[in-house]
Amino acid sequence: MSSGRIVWLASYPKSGNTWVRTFLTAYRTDLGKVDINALDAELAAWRPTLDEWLGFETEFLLPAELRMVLPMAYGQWSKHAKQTVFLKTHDCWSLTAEGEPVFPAEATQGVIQILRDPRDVVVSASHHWGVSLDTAVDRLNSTDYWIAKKFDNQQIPQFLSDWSNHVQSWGRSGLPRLLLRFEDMRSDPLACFRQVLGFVGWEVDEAKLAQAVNACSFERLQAQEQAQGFRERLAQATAGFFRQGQVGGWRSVLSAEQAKRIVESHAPVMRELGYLESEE
Amino acid sequence: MPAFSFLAMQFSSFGLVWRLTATTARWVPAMSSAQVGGASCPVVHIVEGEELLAHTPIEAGLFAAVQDAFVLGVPGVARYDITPEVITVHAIKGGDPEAVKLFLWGSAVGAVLHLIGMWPLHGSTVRLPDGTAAMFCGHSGAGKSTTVAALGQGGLACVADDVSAIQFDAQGQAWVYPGLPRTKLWGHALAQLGLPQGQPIREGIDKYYVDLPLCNAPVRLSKLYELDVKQGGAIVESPIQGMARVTALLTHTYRPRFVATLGKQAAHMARAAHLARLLKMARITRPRGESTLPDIVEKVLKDCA
Repeated sequence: MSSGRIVWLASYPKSGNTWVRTFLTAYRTDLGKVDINALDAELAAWRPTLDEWLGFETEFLLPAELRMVLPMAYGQWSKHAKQTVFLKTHDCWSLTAEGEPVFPAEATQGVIQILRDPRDVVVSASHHWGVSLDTAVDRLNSTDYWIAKKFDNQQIPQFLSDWSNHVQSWGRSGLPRLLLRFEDMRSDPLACFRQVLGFVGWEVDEAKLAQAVNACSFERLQAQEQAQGFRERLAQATAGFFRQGQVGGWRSVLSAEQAKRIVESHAPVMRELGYLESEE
Repeated sequence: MPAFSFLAMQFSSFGLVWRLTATTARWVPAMSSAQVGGASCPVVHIVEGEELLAHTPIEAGLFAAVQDAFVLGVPGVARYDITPEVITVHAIKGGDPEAVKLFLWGSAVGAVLHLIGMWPLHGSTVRLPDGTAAMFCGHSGAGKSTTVAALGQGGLACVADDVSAIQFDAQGQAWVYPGLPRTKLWGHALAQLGLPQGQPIREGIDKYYVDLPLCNAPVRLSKLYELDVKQGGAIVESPIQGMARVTALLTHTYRPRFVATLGKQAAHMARAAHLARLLKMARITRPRGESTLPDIVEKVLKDCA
């Protein structure tokens, strides 16, 4: 582990990041339930918080200027943290124009990188973004894809790049990293979240672990969203944020052409992560 | 008081008199109705320091230099040396003067207000028909400026936009001082309000300066609305109660970390607890991405009638 205080929860959107955040909150609070609208892990791209750490309004900065000051904001965030800070990010790991990592090593304790079969990501993301499946495929395949690019957004713009580069970029960071596959979280959540606790240096209490895993089961999170809403669901979304959480759901949704376009663009990384085993 | 021989202009806002030199007058936003200010107002000079070479490393944030002297760094733009009496602007050579202006009249002025003991809140304020003031607080993007501009169109006088500075009188009442007589609105907000696009705040940013006629005297604060955004649903107004009232005032302090940098946390907490007892406070939550402005204006006007 590095000397910083920040653990980045890094993922492409709709890969299980929020599930990890709910688990961490449930384990820490140990209440047997978790409020999805009051999660511990903040958004690394949350503009009001960045403005506070920087001492000025980021909305007055042009995009390149903003990227330049992010390492300073995260440096301040880590420096003033009294304990581990979990920050969710959908950015890929990248450098500023001056060659400095946007996510500085000095501010970093570690990275929990959450991964999911990009074909399932496309299906979920198309509902989340309120776009067609083809558009979602285009976005996963685009090397210049950004989210929250509008200035008047409470989140700053985030550079996703394409899915493969997003996955690989965090590997290039050289930061201490735990890889979590969504599919493994679904099949054996206890084992996966036990790994998470070990990685962040929290003592593993098996009873607490089981209670936290139960508190943030997909069905419970979905029921809570239906009852109370979830503030991170996008206005244009066509389904709940916690929609189905399926593994392999793409098989009955994507056309052969859509699935082929994803595999053709991302086969090396998909193979490395075991997402093509059943097809090869 | 320092003497600066090239005084070019002065005007009053936030209960202070701002004096500018021939070179720093270029950093004053266009204002059609600047006030001259009373003789008894504290004076703050804005002067130009030595220009910094391009690529000069500037650490971001507000840092204590010595007692009552602070440095605000905005990388790529400027360094502002701040005391209760003088802001010295060291702009980056060849940088964007519009950016220098924005951070000067934002965080740098906010730091001066904290330094001299006023309380800047991140809020926009209007004068209500009963002669008292209502302040709208919230994070960037919550809709403070747009709401107040719409209330202005609805007939209420504006007191301040974005940063509202308050001061307590001898009886402990809180007064909001008129701010700068202009606001900054996003392009879509201008369209919503039927206003033309004026000068952009910076080239490449879809936000524009708009004149904002202000009332000319401090107004006693009686109400505070916290604006929030949520996903879907209707507009909801709910009272803020208990300790949440103090928390809201601390949260919506303009640049609350400046208070810690100045080492004034205890005094700040005490005045927040005091103000929380004086105000009617409510939270208005609106659905994200929907045009709810007319409904919010109607709700506030009805509430204050």
